[in-house]
Amino acid sequence: MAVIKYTKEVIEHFKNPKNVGEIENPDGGATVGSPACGDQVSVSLKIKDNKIEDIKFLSYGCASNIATGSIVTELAKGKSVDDAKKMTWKDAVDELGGLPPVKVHCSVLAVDGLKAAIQDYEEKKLGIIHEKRIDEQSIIEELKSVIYPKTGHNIIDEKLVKYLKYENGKVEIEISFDETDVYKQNVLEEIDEHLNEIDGVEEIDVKVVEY
Amino acid sequence: MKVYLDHAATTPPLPEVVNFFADTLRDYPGNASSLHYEGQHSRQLYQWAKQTIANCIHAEYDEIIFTSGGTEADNMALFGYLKAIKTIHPERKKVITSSIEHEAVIESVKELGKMGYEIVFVPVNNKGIVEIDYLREQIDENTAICSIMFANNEVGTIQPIKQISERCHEAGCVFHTDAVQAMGKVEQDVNEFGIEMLSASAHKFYGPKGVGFLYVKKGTPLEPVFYGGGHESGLRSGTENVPGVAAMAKALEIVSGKINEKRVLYQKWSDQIFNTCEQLHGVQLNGDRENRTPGSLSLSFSGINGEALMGMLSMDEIAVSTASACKSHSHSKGGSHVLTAMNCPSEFINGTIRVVTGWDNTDEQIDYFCDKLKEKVTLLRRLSNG
Repeated sequence: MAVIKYTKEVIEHFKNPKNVGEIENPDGGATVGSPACGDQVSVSLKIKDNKIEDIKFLSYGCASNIATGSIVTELAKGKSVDDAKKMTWKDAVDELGGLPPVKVHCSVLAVDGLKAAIQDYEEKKLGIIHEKRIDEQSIIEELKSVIYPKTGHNIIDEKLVKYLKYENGKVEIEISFDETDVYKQNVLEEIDEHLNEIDGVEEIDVKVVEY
Repeated sequence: MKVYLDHAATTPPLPEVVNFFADTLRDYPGNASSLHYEGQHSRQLYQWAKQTIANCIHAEYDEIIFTSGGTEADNMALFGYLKAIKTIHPERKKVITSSIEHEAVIESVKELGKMGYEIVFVPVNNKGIVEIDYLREQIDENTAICSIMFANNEVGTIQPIKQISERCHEAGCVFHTDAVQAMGKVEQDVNEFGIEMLSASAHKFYGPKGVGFLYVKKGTPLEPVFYGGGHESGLRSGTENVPGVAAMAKALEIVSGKINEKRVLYQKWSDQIFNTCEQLHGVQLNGDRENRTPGSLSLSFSGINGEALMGMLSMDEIAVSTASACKSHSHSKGGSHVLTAMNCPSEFINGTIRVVTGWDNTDEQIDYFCDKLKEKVTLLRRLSNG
């Protein structure tokens, strides 16, 4: 059983989260994650002169989910839309003085929430159509959001993914784990969840291989 | 104010037990297997401990084997018994257990499965009680052992032990029960319940950690699972843990004498906590409302993550524990196999905390907990719903 140790920054943001709530008539908003999985973040934005004038979040999640929602909204507030889009989950983790590896995925979720809210703003208010071209590279980018809980790094950087092919809506992946890896099932489910979110992906075939 | 409400995880040793442990550690230094005066001095205390524990569960002196705790007792019962009957009853290759057992039993039977035994996990209903008809059907002339926990560690539900043991005896198989959560909370009479083997652990009934026992009814075949100097009638080698078993006996003696008194007190607190929850709405009590170990509450809150609630309460020095459902996100701990087996919706499982009162709690502490619970649940719900 894992014992989770948080930094004082995480505890502070958990105890007194900033920017909690929902903006009325937001310029952009999005909800990511799912309550069934115990992690969900909603982000709403007010944008003026291409700047994030106000941002709020709601969290249905654990302590680090709440803390990352708080820090990501703090970091994004006042930033230009373009700068906010460049934010990564690493920025959030650094600002919090680190997160336990098993909780890094919370920061990914919070930043995903921010980016999805910005995208919603761009689509609704600016009429920008985000063309989604699916290819192997874009799938690799998506898989960089899947965190390996043992180390807190994504499964691409961890070189767990050994083979990847995309053709006609079908994704084929080969991934390697130690036989006794306790996080295997978690990672497989998360891969499934991420790939299912991509419009156009119709079939997912993940094989666990030994290397 | 510190409020400890996690007595199913472990219990703080009673002050009398701590003193007794310290005294015996100092005053009984001899090896209880030595024949000289110092050894015999320790032997006497060891014998007193064994007899006291036997009395508390209506067993005989020779029927108690001291172990390092519940996990070792469970392993000894399952592996030791199957080893012992391998040649006498080669046809009995079936092991029956429930889907809500503690890991000490679940992981042991999985290992038995790898060794070639047929394993049956009996499902439970939504109150966490084993499906008795299915269990009765499964127990047959090829069944070697049936192991069903006395009371569950997550939801506190008590199983129909007597009904299960009767069916086991009809089919000629032995019945083992992991009574770790029930010992000291529910009256134990191994004869009345028809139990062949029973596991218990001292730290769950206000004794020290690292000591427990296995009750083995006379005539039940058992082989050791590890070997050495032949202590505990050759079944569990290793120098006798005299201060440990003495403190365990002291704890069980004290606790067994107050079971009814505590039941009344815990019921009052449980009602108070449950009433607080009802005012909060969207709260579900998991398990059987009546048929449970006194003082155990598994509570699921809608719109809240249990880990966040536990964390918030912990910051105010209130200790409760969590259960989580999701396999893919709650990486800190796997899903609750107990609540999943009970068909509890995953949204509710994620919002679950376990509150278990104990000897050290006071009315004032429960009032404080109820106030804080209301405050934190309201706060977290505002965080999730705005």
